[in-house]
Amino acid sequence: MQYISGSLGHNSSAEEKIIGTQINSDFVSFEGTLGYRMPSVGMQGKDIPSFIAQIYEHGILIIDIVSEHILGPADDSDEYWITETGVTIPSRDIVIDNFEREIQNRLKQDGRVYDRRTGQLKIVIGKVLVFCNTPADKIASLNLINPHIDRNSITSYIRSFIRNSNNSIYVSKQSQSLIEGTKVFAKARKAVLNPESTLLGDLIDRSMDNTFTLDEEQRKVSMQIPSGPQRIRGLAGTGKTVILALKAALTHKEDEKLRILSVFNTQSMYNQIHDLITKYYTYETRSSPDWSVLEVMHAWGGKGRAGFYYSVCKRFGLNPFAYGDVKNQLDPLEFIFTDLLRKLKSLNPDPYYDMVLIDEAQDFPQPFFEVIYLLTKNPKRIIWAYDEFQSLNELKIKEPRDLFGLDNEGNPNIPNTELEGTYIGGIEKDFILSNCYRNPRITLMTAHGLGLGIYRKEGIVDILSDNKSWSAIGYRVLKPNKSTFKEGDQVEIERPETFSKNILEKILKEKAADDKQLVSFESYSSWKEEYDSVAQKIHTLISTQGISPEQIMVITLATLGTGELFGYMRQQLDFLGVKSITPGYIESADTFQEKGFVNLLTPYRAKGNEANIVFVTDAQFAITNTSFRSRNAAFVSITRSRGYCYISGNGRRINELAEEIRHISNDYPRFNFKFPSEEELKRRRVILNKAENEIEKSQRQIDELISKNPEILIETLRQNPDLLSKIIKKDDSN
Amino acid sequence: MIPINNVFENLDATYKAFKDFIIDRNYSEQNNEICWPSYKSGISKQVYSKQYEDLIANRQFTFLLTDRSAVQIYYSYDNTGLKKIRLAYYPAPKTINIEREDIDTYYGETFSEALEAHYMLLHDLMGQGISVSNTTHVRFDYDRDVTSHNTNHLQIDGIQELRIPFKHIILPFHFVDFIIQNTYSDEYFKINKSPNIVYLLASSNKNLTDVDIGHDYYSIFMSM
Repeated sequence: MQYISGSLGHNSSAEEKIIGTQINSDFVSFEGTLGYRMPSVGMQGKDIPSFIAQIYEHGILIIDIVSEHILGPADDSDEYWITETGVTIPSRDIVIDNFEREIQNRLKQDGRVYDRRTGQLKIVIGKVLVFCNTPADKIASLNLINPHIDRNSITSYIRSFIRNSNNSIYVSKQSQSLIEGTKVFAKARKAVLNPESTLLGDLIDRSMDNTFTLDEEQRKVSMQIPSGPQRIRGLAGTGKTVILALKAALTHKEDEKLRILSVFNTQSMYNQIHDLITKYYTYETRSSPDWSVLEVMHAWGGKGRAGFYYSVCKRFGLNPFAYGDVKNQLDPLEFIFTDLLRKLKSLNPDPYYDMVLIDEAQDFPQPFFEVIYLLTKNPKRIIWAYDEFQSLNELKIKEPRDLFGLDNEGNPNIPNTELEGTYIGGIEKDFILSNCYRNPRITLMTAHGLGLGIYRKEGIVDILSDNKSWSAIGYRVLKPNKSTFKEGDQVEIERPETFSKNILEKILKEKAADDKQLVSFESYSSWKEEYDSVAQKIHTLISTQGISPEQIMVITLATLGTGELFGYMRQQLDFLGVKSITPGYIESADTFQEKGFVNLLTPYRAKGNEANIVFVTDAQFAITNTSFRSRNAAFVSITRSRGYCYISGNGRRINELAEEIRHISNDYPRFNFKFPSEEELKRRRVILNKAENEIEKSQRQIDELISKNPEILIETLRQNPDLLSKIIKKDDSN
Repeated sequence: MIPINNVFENLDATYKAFKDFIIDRNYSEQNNEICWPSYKSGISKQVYSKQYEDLIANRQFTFLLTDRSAVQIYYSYDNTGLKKIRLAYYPAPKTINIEREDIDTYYGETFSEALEAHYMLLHDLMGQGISVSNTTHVRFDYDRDVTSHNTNHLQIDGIQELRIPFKHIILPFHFVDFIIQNTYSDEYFKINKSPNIVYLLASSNKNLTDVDIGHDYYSIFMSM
């Protein structure tokens, strides 16, 4: 049984906390969920009974704890009760009836659990009142309709309910999603005409036709309001954004006076987050969220949209920088937040946010976090979602100590220890999401393998060096049997099937087809040959496989002449009658997935989006680019795919890439490698962490030197025997 | 007067002849009109770069050329025949090399209040990272029913007062051929002797229609 503690740590009676733990242990051997005032089925606050148990294959049991000493009914109507302290409260007897009716209403939407002919629900719903401090004679005066017990008989009551509800057809994931309101997130259903069809388009449609259900991990973390900071770690496609949106909506519903900020870095996420919050909140409360206390904001702000930076400046009467003023800074975002932080510190502002949710935390500079810290009230409910693997040069996760700044005594505002342990309900303060919904397993492993250069001829580019980091991104270490790896260790790791929730992969398995076909590789002798062939392939997918153009993304890893390459591709597609767009080159940068158009993109533009069909072209750049950035770009590009990914490249060194991909495919679903030396890794990390333009500049200078003045280079090397010997040594080729 | 079907055939043949210069085509014949789908009439009174952006965003073009310039080809007919033509060329905006400080100087030097406001606006725009573009669009317009000015003329962007009258009503091929010839001259002279293009030019010329424009400025300009 999974315990969803919700706001148990936030507002609950002492009895509820103790009884919660007790009930949880009564249910421990059963499958299902036990929620504290969860699910709320659109009710608010005290209209929700204390505990709702959804026991798979048995039924639903509603348990309401009456902690007060009740003296009797407040009037003749039985609608209100009066407590010993003289307070009038609504009758709990009526509360649980109303609540039961709301659950029934929701379940009636599903023909599998509701028989429309007989009007009967196939799920058994039980309800009981637990009086903790009310004597028997006073309980009798309440004229209760529902069963009632004292706190000592809870366990036996639960046992008898389970015994007698054996025939309940099913409380299952579907019914649960109905009850908890997350079915509003289900992707639009498309009628699937022929389930036997093997056309790619039909397979993809089938993969879209599923009910969104939170998995256990997601439910646990999203349905809880933590009483302090929390970090949510997970790869792209693990549901971080949905979880943060749910947390925001839930907290807003719980107490609409709380001031909440939901902040993110990608402009295009504005609508997505707004939608998620609105859908859930509206379904649950039948009213619209109050956007004046629940602020959804881009970190900076965009065309006519409020941004966090601008709104803070405005609030404190500071003059904000315009993008034009700072666009030449190395990191404009860091620049403006460093400036803002300095000014805020001197103003000593009163914090005003009760909760802050940060999505894409890996994209934000350090001072941003410190600003958030300054503006968040105690107990600093700051929840940040962090993508473990967004970029290669950030393999090491930034710890809270390094993010939130220091206090006056020089101690970290949020020390690392604050993420140790759990919140009430056993929910980790440092929460890891290991299930990946977006990418098929082979796709993710190809991306990781290429990104890290695990099978790179000249040696691994960068690697996670401990057991915990690998499990944080959904792998299981088989060898070696120790927590931190050392040079020369033979490492064997596996991506277990259970962590892959990609539906297309499952459908292929059902059909006994090889899921490895979701990634393919093709090499060509010239870029024209490659582009012509990709254009043909796209045409075939659209004309014979029922794929619609907007589901297709073409991402080039080429870093030069991208505009011309896209122009050529667009022309070739146009010859074949396929329409395409090139955002950022011809169309404006925020155009994406317009109906009827194939998307031609750079990895940078593709970031944060996903598609059913992804072509990664000019993949040789992953090998030839000395800065390793193209490996990162390859990783980003491949992980856009939730369906089929076609990788291709051209030129002299394409065979090296083919070899790496073949190796990944052979070892799938495992990686086997020898752990590299610390020195090797260090040297490559230096390159990884250099500013992009610095590398480009050096590279240009070297190229120029080789072509114009090779003598100088030769002479310099002659006079530097150390450098020369480093070059000659094989594993030092970088 | 040339029938609509022949204009459409001419347009199709034009695409085939110049397809190596075109990365996107967008035209059809419907309801007595040859135009791009989702045709919107009217010319936006925006700075040129914004006009161009809007045109791309709303796919208001017939052809998009490899240099990102756009071509509009619009012919409209009614029961009595050809009613309207719009043949426009929108070059990809080229930013001019100018610093924000230069604008400050111009602002300080001008004696005109209107231009002061203009420079101030430019200064603001550049502050927002919008680059200043000097380019503009050019078009041939034909409107059978117009009486206030010449029915057939060349017009440059928003200059309403100076419409240059034209004697001939031209075909899609004339217009595109003229553009390619001038903007891709090296490549163009490799193909202009091909039988395909020679034939198209001859057949298009045969279908030129004359309009009465009084004074034939075009001929005068051409003979200067």
